[in-house]
Amino acid sequence: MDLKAYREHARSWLAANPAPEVPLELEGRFRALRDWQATLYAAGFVGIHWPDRFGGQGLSVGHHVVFLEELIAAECPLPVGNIGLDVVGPSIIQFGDDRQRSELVPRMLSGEDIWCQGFSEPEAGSDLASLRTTATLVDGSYRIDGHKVWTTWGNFANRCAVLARTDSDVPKHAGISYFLVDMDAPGITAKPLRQINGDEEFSEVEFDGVKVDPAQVLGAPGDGWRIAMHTLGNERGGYALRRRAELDVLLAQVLRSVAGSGRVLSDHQMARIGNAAMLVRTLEAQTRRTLERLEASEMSPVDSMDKLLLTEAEQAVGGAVLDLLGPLRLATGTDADGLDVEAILHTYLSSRAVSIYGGTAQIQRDIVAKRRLGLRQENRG
Amino acid sequence: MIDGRELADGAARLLRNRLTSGDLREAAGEDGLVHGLWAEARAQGWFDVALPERLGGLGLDAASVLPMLKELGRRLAPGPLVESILVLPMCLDVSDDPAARALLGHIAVGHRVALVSLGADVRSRLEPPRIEDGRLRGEGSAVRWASSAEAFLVGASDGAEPVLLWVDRGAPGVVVTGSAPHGTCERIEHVRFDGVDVGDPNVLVRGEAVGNVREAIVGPLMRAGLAAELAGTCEALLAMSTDYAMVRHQFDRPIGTFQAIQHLLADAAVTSYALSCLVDAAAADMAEDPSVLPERSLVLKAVAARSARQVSETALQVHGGIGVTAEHDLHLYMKRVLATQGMWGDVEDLQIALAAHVLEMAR
Repeated sequence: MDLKAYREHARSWLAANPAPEVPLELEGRFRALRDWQATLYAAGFVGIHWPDRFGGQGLSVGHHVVFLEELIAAECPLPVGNIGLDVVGPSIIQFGDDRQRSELVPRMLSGEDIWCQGFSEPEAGSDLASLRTTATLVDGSYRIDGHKVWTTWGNFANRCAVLARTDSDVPKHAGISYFLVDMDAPGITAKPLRQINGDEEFSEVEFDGVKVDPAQVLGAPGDGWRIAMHTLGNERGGYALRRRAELDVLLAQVLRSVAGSGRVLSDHQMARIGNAAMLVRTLEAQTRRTLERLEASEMSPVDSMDKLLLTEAEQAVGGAVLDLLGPLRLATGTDADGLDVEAILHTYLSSRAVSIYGGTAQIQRDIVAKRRLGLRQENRG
Repeated sequence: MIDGRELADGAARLLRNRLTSGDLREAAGEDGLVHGLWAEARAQGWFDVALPERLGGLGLDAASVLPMLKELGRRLAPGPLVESILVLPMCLDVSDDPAARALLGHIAVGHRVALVSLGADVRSRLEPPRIEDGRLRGEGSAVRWASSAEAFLVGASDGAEPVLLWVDRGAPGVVVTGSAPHGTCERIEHVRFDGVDVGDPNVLVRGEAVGNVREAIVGPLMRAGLAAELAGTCEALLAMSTDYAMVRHQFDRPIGTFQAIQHLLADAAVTSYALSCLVDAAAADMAEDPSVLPERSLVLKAVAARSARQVSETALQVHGGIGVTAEHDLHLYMKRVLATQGMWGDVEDLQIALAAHVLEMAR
C-alpha cells in the first residue's frame, strides 16, 4: 500500500475507533494505555515497520511515521510501550540472538511486556559512559548492583534494558554491556519520581544484587555502548518527527481556545504565537529530510540538528502559550478566559526539559560542531 | 526543458567565474551594479526563465526560480534581481489589458526594474503616488536599486481607482535620493515623482486587480525571493566563519576547537540548515499548489530575516577583530543582510501577520 493510501486507511480506522478514556490517576492511566496498545496491535498499527516474522507488519518506516502523524492528529494517545518500541525493540532486532528476538519482540509489540530503560544514573547523565552500575560474573551468572534514574514507567514496566559495567579494566566505553532484565527479579526496587510538571511516570530504580543469566546479555559483553548509541541516534530524528506532529496539535488546541475566547492579544503575545507557528513550520520542513535518513537508517549529525530545532520549537510553543496567561500563570483552578492554566503550565514546564533529555542541547551542539562542521583538533589548519 | 536545479547550477557557475569580491568593491564606488555580470546574465537568459511562454519566456514557476535566487544570495550578486527575474515577469502574466500587452513590446526583457509604493516598507506612512491630469505626483520609500534601475513598477492611484504603472527611470520629473552605504553595493533609496507625464499606455493593471497583484504576487514573490537569497547568504557566512575558526589560532589552538566558538557555530549551522530546508519545502509545496505562496512566503521571510541576522552576527563574533574592519569581505555580507532583513516586513511584523493567520484558521 502506498503512503497516501495507507494514510487514508489509518485515518478511517482512527475515525471508527475513538481514543480511549485515559484517567489521570497513574495506575488507571497505565492500564488504559496498555489496553490501547493491544487494540492498536490487533489492528496492525504497532510494529508497522518491523519484520513480519517477529509480529510486525513489514512495511517501511514511512508507513510508521504516517500512522503516528494520523494517530496524533486524531488526538489519540501513543501506545504505553513506546520506550520499548522506539529504543529497546530496534536494538533487540538488530543485535539480539534468535531466542531473544522470537521470545521478546512479539510480546513487546502486543503490550504484554512493557519495557523501561535503565541507562541514566544520578552521576551519569550527559557523560553516560561513566555509569557506575556494575554487573559481575559470580558462579556463572551476573550480579547487577547500581542505581538508575529517569526511568519512564519504571514502577509499572515488567522488563528493563539495563546498561551496566562488566569490565572496569578497559576504556570506559568498551566495558559496558546491555542486559535484558525482568523487573520482578529479586533485588529490584522502583520508586516513583514526581516531575516539575506534575507528571509521575518517571522512577528511580535500585538494583541490589540482582541475578541475571548471561543469556540475557544483548549482543556480546562489552557491546553495550555501541548498541545503545546506535538506537539513540536513530531515535533522535524519529522523535523530532513525532514531536513535530504533537506540537502541531498542541498549538492548534491552544489557538482554538484563544480564538474561541475572543481575547484580544497584545503585540507581544501575537509575535510570540507567530514565532511559535513559524518554528513549528520550519521543523516540519526540516524533518522532511529526516524521513529519508530514517528510511536509509543512516546515522548523521543532522539528527542532532533536528533535536536542536525541535528544542527551539518546543520551547517557543511552551513560552508562547505561557505568555498568553499574563499574570495568571500559576492561577490554577481559576477561569482564565477559557484557557486551561494547568495544561498550559504543564506544556511550558515540559518544554523546558526538551533541552535536557535525550542528550542536552549542549551535547547536541558538540556533536554538530565536531561531526557536521569538522571543528576538531585533528583538523587543525 | 530546464529545471530549477540546472538553472541554479548555471547561475552558480556564472557567478563563480564572473563575480569576485573585487568586482563588488569596485561597483560599490559607482552605481552598485556589476554591469558586465548583468550583461552576461541577460545573455544567459536569467530574465526569460519566469516570463510566460506566450511572451517568449520559459514560463517556469516561482518554485523553480528559488534555488537560483539562493545562489545569487550566496555570492551577493547586486541589483534588483528578484524584481527583474521573478516579480516583473509574473506581473506581466496577469495583465490581459490590450494596452498593457502593447506596452510589453516596449519592455525589453532584462530591464532592471525597481518597485515603488508596492509594500516594501510595511510601516510607511506615505500615501501612494497619484495621477492627476496625466501627471504622476508622490513618493515611495525603501526602493531597492532605484538609481540604477531602468524602470519602475509603481503602485499608484488615479483618483478613482488603484493602478499599477510602468514609469521610465529617465522620464523628466523622476527624482531619486539616497547614498552608497559604507562601501557596499546595497542601495535603498527614495523615489519622488514630480509631475511625471504618464498616460494610459503606462497602466499595466487597474482597479481591484491591483490589490491582487500587490497581495498575491508582488509581496509574496518578493518575500519568497528575498528569503531564498538570504538562505544562500547564510550558507556563505557559515562556511566562511567555519573555515576561519580553523585557521585563526589563539592560545596555540585553532579557535574552532574551543567549545565557546563551537556552540556559536553549531547554532548558526542549525539556523542556516533549517532555512535552506524551509526554502526547499516551500518550493516543493508551491510546485504542487501555487496558491500556498502567500502563506508560505510569510513564514519564509520571517525565518530568513531572523536567521540571517543571527548568522551574520555570529559570523562577526567568530571573525573577531578582522571582522570589524572593512578590509575583510564579511562586512559586505553583513550589510546585505541588513539591507534585506526589513524589506516587505521585518521579523515581528511577519510573525504577527502569521499569528493573525493561524488564529483565523483556528476560528
